[in-house]
Amino acid sequence: MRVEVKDLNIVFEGVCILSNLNLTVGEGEAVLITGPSGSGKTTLLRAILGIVPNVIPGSVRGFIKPEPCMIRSKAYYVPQEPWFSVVTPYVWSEILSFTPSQLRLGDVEDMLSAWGMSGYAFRTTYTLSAGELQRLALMVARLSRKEVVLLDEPASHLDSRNAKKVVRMVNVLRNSGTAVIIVDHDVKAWAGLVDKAYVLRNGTLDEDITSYYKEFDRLISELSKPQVQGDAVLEVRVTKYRPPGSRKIVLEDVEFTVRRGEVALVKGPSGSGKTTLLRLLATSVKEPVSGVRTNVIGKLIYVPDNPLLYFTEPTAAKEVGEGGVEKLREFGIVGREFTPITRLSTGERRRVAVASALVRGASIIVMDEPTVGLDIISKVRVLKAIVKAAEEGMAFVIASHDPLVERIANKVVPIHG
Amino acid sequence: MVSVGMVFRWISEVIFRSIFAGDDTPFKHSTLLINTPLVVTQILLASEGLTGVVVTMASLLAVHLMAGTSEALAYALIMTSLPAVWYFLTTLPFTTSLIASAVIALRVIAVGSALLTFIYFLNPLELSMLARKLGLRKASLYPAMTWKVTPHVMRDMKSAMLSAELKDEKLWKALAVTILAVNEYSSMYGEGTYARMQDFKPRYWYSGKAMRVFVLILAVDITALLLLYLG
Repeated sequence: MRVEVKDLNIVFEGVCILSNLNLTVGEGEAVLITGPSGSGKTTLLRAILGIVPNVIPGSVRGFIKPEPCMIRSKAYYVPQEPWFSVVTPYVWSEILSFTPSQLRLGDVEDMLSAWGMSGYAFRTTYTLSAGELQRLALMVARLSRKEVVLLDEPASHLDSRNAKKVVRMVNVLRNSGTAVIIVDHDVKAWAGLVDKAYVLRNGTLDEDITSYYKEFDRLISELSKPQVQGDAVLEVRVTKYRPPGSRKIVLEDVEFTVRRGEVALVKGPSGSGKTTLLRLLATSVKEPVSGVRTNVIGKLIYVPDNPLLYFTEPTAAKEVGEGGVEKLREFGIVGREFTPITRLSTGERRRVAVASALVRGASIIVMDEPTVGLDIISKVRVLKAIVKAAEEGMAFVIASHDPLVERIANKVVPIHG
Repeated sequence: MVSVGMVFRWISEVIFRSIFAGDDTPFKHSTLLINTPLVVTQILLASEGLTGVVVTMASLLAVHLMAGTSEALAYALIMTSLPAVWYFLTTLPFTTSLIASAVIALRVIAVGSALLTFIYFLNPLELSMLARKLGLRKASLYPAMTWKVTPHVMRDMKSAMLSAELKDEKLWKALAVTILAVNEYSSMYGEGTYARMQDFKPRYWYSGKAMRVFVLILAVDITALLLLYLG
């Protein structure tokens, strides 16, 4: 199916998000759309499917051919937040309920093995990590045999090995005649595969992707590790941890110490237990957790992988307080300080959550994937702010797949699962 | 010190573990045609006094032991013991007998545990499949989704509470944001299913072993009930 977008204009509450946007994606073509966080990339995908205005209200003008309701019936969409891309309770049910009926339960295990999820068929989907959910959603997208596939940051929660599998999967889809539209910040990962690449800024698509990216290498080279380290503020020892109702031990023999001014990166393949470790670490501050021993000096703040769960105030300005408004500006949150949190994009929310955590006088900040969904400029801003805070005496424990986070990490805590 | 947040997290953990914890097992592949009469029989048995309570609890224990899900039963007992204590204390002035009130409390535990066990072994995919067979195509996704969304929301609520507590923020602020989050979740799930809702074809299979075990326990419970009625 060929998808054509002509003179598309989208306005949300008086704010123009897309303006006279044009895009054509032919059969067997893969198109990459990149651009700053909050520029309207996800909105474009939503408009193509008719989610805007049918599920999310907004004023839409322009032409989408075929009609969004027609595209919807022939398309598969993997949204940015992996938690919402899987809707049935078990891994097997997600695969079998949305794919052609000739698939059998026995086939499910083979498919899962190919994606490094062997033995997952009977797992409950709410226990899967963001990376595992993302792999499951992509697996279903691949098997659904749709004519159009729309992927919103499909590899954001994946380790490099699985991210490469996503690229290979898109290649297979494209070769089979599927039109694929990918929204992603990682242009290098898709180089050589996509037929066209655009930058979405100021509401329109720009083919000059090089000028958008030329500054990035310099920005990245400015990242460095914090230099000053003090006394230990966090000691962690996990002997054994088994999630409720599961017979499988998820974490075993994990031990590390974090000193003042240090950034510790928790690293491991997706599904290895990084999020579980951070959650246990945060929980153990408030209540005893079997198999987990922690010693925390000072205040610990926890920023979950879904930034919405961090907030306790309705707007960014209230969340950071008077002293934090400058931090918001430093993170590029300008003119959105009083917008309700629920109307901010995921990337904006993530930046607000990090800004809020930094201004609360904590001695340790535990962050789960703080750079997911951010463009390079925002990532560098956030990471530089983390380094600056570390040099002022804060300690960080960060779980991430992002190689840029590794650039600022003083130590790596490997998690093997 | 025990905080409101800790109590809230504990309660949600108990509910979570007694209903949603654990992967899919063959024992979750019985059928409503067996499990519904079973839970009705167990409720009737439990209301027949102490002997009925013992038989009900024994049959629940047997199912959970065979399924390897005794942890879920343990949490069901913890959960039902909360209303049981309430019933014990509030009936005591009327019964004026510790034993009589204790039996009432035990009946509450037995009935509650039977219901929780019924829900625990209920497979939402069977409900989805039945809804589809009844021609409720659009509604067929809802049972399956409920079993995904409910534990997801509960887990995220716990994370939000924990995060707020660590920030030294008031719990109600986290609750307010959680309510906003739940509202957003419905929109996000709406987005996630928008393009593929019409593709949903629930698949389900029945486990012969699970059905045989449940039929056997149903037969024992019916026999016990008849004996109690006749006796």
